[in-house]
Amino acid sequence: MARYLNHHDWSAIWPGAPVHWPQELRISTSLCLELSLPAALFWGSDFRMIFNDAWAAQTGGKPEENGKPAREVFADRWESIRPHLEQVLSTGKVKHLENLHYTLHPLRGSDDRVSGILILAADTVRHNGNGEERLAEVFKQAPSFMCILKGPDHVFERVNDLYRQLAGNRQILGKPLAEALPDTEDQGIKSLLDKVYETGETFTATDFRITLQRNAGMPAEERFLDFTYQPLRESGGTINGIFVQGIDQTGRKRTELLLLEQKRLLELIASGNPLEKILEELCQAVPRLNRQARSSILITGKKHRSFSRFTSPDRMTSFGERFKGLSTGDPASGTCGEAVTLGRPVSCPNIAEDTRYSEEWRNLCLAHGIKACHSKPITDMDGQPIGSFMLCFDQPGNPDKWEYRLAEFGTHIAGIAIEQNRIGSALREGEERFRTMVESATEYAIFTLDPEGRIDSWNTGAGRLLGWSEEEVIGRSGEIIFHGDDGEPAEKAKEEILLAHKNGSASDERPHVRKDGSRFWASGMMMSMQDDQGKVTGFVKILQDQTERKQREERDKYVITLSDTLRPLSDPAEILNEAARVLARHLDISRVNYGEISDDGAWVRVTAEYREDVPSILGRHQIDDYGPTLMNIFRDGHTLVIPDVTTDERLTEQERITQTGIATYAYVIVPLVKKGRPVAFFVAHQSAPRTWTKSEVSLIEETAGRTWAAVEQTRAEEALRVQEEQLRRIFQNAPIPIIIHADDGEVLQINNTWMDLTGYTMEDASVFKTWLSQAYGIGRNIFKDSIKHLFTNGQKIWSDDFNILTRKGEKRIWNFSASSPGTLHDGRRFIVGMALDITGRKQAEYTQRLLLGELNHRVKNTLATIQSIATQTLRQTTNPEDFVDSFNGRIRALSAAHTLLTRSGREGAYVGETLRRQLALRDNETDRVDYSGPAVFLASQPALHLALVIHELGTNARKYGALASPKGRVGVDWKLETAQGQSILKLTWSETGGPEVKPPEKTGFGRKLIEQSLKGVGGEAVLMFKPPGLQCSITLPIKKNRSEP
Amino acid sequence: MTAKRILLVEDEYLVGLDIQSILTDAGFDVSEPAMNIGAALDLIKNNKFDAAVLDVNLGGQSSEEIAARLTDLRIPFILLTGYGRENLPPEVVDATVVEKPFDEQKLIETIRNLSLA
Repeated sequence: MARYLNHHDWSAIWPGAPVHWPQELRISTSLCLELSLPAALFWGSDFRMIFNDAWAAQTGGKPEENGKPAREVFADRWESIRPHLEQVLSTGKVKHLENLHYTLHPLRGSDDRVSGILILAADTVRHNGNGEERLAEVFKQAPSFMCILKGPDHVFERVNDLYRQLAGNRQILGKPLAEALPDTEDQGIKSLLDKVYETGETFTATDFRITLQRNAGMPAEERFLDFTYQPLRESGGTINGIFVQGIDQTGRKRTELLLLEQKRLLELIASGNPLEKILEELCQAVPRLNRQARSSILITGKKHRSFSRFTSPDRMTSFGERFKGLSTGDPASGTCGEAVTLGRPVSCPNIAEDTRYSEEWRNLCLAHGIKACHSKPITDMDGQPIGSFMLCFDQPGNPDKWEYRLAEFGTHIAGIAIEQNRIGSALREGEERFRTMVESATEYAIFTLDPEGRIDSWNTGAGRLLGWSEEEVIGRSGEIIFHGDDGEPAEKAKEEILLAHKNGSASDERPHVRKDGSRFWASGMMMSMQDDQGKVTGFVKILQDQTERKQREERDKYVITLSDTLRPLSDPAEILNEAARVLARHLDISRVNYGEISDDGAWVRVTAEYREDVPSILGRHQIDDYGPTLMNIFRDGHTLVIPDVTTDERLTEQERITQTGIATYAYVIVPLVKKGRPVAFFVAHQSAPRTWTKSEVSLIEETAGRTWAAVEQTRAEEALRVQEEQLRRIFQNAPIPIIIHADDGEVLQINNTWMDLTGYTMEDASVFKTWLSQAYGIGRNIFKDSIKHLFTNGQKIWSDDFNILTRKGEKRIWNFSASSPGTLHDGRRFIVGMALDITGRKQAEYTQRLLLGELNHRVKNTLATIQSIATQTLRQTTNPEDFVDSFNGRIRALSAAHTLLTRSGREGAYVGETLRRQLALRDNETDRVDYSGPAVFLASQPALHLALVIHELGTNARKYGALASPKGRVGVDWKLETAQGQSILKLTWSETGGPEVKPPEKTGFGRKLIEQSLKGVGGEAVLMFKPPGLQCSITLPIKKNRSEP
Repeated sequence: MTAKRILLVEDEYLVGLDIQSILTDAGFDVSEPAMNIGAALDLIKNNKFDAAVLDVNLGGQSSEEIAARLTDLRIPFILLTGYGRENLPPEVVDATVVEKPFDEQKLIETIRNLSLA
């Protein structure tokens, strides 16, 4: 309920917050609510009601009924209750309602009128007590201090618990004030009481400050009290005592004061007062908050190992001084040292008897009247002890709650003050450091401008970069550093300031100008400076010399231009001329040349030139003409820079004449060295003296180097191209087929021979597989496997014979060889395959083998024939002479036929020559044989057989026929007939003029031979034994012989 | 016992004549030498032979056709060749071969061995 009271809006019931209620109401309400007995308070004309928790528990009253008129709360029995209330109100006497166990107590206001009624319920335990006792109980338990003083000496008649506490639990009952509380004597209490006693006027005090000894033997304590002195009257109206009732407001008051001091100190800190002043104020605030206490503040040095500063106002100064420089661990540093070391508060309730610290410290304290102390470490933001706040007491004793709070307050404020000071000095240090930095940043020009754009500060870097001294430049407009190249300096400066003003900063990169008027490239930034209100107070300009960077950029740009110009060119002469042009244009050079030096170093040939309004020097020159300088340069390989030909001491008179003769007054010559020997040079001529800057010289050198490289590359490329072209020609026209194919099956190239031999084109065989199936047919798998093997195993050379089919279906035999695989630029692997077309050789070999076989066959057949001739001849002859003649004749015939056949490698013989050779064996017979017939070529076999038949016919004619008689003749006629598409030789042998012919009695070998032997070659011979002469008709089919001439 | 009938195929008339004489003297009944394939096949068609002597090369033509016919009729034969066994057509590579020029006795014995078998 007490809590409820605190939170309820009481203004609806009684105006104002409880603190503004009439004293009586406040006291009564407190009393009512704090009582452990069920109690209710009725106040005002309509008996508004307040009750406590015990009441609510007993009667079932609800919290919201608080503050409501009794008539409403007790609506149902109001009429029975009302008379009792009104009676107490009018009589002012206590009324017991025995049946209900309630006692009604009248409450009197300051005007002594009954203005309220306190109803107490009978305690269930002590319900038999009378009203007085109950009220006494109430009195005793009341939450405010109360006492009743009787008589003019203010003898304590009754005191309640709180009052007894206030008085330090001293025995005061029955004693007059002066005796009971002698410590109040000088504090005006008695006179106040006297006045109330005399005048009968109630006295009310607020925040009355009083010092009381609250504990025996302990220092007196300051309290703040709100109280009322209320005169008590006898029934006759005479004042016979004073009712003292009040509330100890010390806690609240102290808090108030503490907050006030805190606020003041924080303001001091915030307004930037020096640390010493703040700490001094803090120390001085302590006695204001607690009369018994003084304080001293010790602050440690940087490393927090010793005390470096102290604050101890007034008579404490000599006290604090003794701590300066003392280590925190030194026993002489006492509680403060220990507090810092341990990082927690340290108390010393009785310094005189304390042996923890040095005697020196004890004496120091005692000498300054400090009997007890309490030190609490001051910590920084991180909780690190940085000092100690010491409360010093005149009397021994432990600090009370309030003093702990004071210590807390002191360390808190001191901590803030110290921290603030540290930040402040850090800021000041930062500023100082910044100033130093600006001054030492000599690579940068840093200066400030006032809002009107006038220079008001100027660092060393600015002096260096811009050439103006600080004295010269302060007060001048910032526009003096702007170069006129890209706009009116004043305009540019204004523009920049406006931009910085608008955006806070403005940056740029542009040409600037020095005091001496020289131009340089710099990047700069301008920032506006503003005060707290955002008003622009000036500008800072930071400038950095970018000349070098700019030059580097321009050089890069030039090099890119040069490269871009030269890259697409492939003709060395063109490259050189273009390079000369680009360089001359870029550096504004009168003439740029390139020349080559002869092997013996005696001549130069100037081959490239770019010039403007100066004579050409293209052509061949003798180096001697140009004097020793040039020769030396070429020998050394170093660049020569001549700013003025007419004055340069390195040049001879002759050289001056020669050079000025070609309008050269300044030049830079760069020899190009290859393998330690100058082979060419690049030269820049100026038609007037010229100061060549370092960057210009290096640019000329760069150009020379790059041009040379480009020329070399082009030449190398050209050489490569020629070589490639040669290789390509070799490839295309090599008399052997060549194919190049990749491992993914693509045919990269086939040469002309390949195409000629195979009849396939690149299109027919663009993929290796196609080529394989077209050319190899069923043999392709073997070939494919071989190629695959080659790719996977990287065999060095592989070679084998294959039959391939040409596009026309012709069979060719290729001896195919392949290199080990190479790698293409795209990572694929390739194989160069070459083939030897060995078809002709193979055919020859085959023919050879056939011929050999045939020869073998013929020889053997011939031998077999000879064997047969021998056997048969032997069978037919009766004496050896005959046999020799016959046999030799036949062998000779055979031999003659062979001779004819093998002569000139023909595979046969003509009919005529066969006949003549067989019959012209003897000279005298030649004229007796007539030959008549066309040229008919016979294959060897028919020719051979015909020869043997003719030989037999001839032998027979010589022995028995026409040639045996001197006049006999033989006619041989032959002709060629065609029957059923076949040519047939028809030959007739006719003998005339010989002896009469008789058919022979038996068939001899010769006749058999004649008649039968031609059958083997498809022919036949028919003998007719006619009396005038033998006739023989021979028929022989003629096969067309390939080798017929 | 009747004489064994021998088919003689030989395009070289002189050689054929010689073989005919040799084999006739040895007691065989030998056909006139067939000098080409057609003649040989005609003989086979119209006569019964116990064995055959076959020249491999008949005027440039191979006698393998005749060999095939003989094989079909289970008539044993010997091949007479100047080429050597290595140059025989594959069909007759296993046949009994007598190389030219031949030895009379060897030829007779070979024929005898054939017809006995």
